[in-house]
Amino acid sequence: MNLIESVRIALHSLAANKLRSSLTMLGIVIGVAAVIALMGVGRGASKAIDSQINSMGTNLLFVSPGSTSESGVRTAQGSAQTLTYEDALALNDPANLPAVAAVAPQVQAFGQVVNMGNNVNTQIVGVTADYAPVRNYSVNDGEFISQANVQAKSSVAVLGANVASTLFPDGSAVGQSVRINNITFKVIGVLTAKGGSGFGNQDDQVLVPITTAMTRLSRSRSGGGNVISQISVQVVDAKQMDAAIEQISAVLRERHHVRYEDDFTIRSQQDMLESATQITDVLTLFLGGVAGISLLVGGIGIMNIMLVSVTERTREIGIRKAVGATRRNVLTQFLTEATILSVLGGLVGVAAGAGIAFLISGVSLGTMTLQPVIALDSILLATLFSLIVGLFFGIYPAFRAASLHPIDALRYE
Amino acid sequence: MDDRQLAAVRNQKIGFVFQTFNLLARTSVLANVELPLIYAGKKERRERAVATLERVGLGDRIHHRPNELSGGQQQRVAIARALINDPSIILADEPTGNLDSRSGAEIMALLHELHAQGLTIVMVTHDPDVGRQGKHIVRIHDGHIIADERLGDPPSVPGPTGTGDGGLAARHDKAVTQVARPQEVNQ
Repeated sequence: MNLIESVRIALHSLAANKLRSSLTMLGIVIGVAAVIALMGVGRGASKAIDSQINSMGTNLLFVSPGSTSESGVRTAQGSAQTLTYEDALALNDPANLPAVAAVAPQVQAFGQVVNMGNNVNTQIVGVTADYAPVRNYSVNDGEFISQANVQAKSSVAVLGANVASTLFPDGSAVGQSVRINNITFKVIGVLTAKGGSGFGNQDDQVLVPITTAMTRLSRSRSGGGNVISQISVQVVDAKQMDAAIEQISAVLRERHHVRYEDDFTIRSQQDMLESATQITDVLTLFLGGVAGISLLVGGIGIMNIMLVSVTERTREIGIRKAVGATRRNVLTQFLTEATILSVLGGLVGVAAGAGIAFLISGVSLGTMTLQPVIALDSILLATLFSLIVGLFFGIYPAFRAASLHPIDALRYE
Repeated sequence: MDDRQLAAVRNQKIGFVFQTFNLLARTSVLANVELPLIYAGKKERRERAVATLERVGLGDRIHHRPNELSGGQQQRVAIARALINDPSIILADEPTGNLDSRSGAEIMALLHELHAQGLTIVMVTHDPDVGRQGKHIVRIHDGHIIADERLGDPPSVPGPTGTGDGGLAARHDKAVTQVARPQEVNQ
């Protein structure tokens, strides 16, 4: 008796009990569908985060002020006000720091941005002219902040795409004026939309010259005139990352007279990518675990039904043995049935999971649009896993069937 | 003998016919008859099964389900299944017990025909009329042999055992309800 014959017989007996077979399969279908859909969502999320981080620019390092320690109480990283505009200017020194290609300092503040009846509370970022190339921004309309704007401390602003559409719902923003914290700014440009990000929406901000921000907007910051929030540094190429970190650290240590502990932190884009990946990996693993449990439950369902089936078909087993079936034949038959149930359930589950993923694609999670990724490996994994579940949970009932004595089985009522 | 050898003997050497037919329900007559061939790993199953069904007079019922046939027809299917691997012996456990007298007579006629073709048939029965048709009758009462008589001449049909010595019918005393297992009769 070969495999095709076993499959034929198994399909025949499964078809004899269609409702029961399909209900049994349902356990596996749900488990596999959950694995496929959840893994797809997890991967979609991590892909979205990757692309967001990459959209920030290439070969970036982020220099932030460190934390302060006052009477032993450590404050949050970045809360110290040790990084100055002059530090940023000092880093922009190709002779001293050959690995640094461009430097873009920034000051962050929150403010109410008003145009006539429309207003929005958003992030105000003070930037230099280099901010656009370093952080991969471009203007859709008008122009970006120039070096002259920075030197003149001009009251000009470049609006993020969302801000522009909120404040100027019916017309071009360029040339108009907005009031930020009661100071009038002339709008000189609107940024090209970048899409959301896991780290604050990049379309939801207003850019102004850094000098203007430091002197006129960041009054809340006690440090006064020249404190900045972050410096984005573009490194000449990816291989120079470590060299750039060394060079920047050396310059800043010297300028800040650091003796024991750095009062600044340097993070690379890679670090951000890794921490984001870690989060999504844990998420995917967790979701996969939950789905795995439902597969297990489905497997137990198969075992249960197969045990019932063996009892119910004791007479059939007796007949088969009487006409010459060996233990192995009977074992194969019941094992094949269990495996077909689970693999068929697995295939239906893959289709259902892909369908669910398709249905939820485009759903936005906060500022992110989810695009689930159904990869071939997760399909193969789920199918293989359901095959293993079928074999594992089918072996005991099949063994029970195979070890029935032919005469006892024939007499069973 | 281990399990595989026992299965091979059941498959190749012995054909079983039961009182309750023991056909697979929900399975066509043809598939029921093909079953021993599947376990024997033989080819051309369909042709052989059809030929055997024609031999028992059911060539026109091959796609029916057992429950669509009369008792006598079901028993013929069972006999066809027993015959399909050309066994040396047919063990029949009260083959007419569940049938009305006319169907029973038909089945007996079929068994006589097979016997005439050289098959050894061992049959257990409570029915004296059926029992009397055997060539070699062993009476069993409460598990003990109480009579052993040979009727007629051993036929000279060559068989695998060289004798083909006819039916063996074991009859119980009517007060005894114990059913003899084929193995017990076969000692």
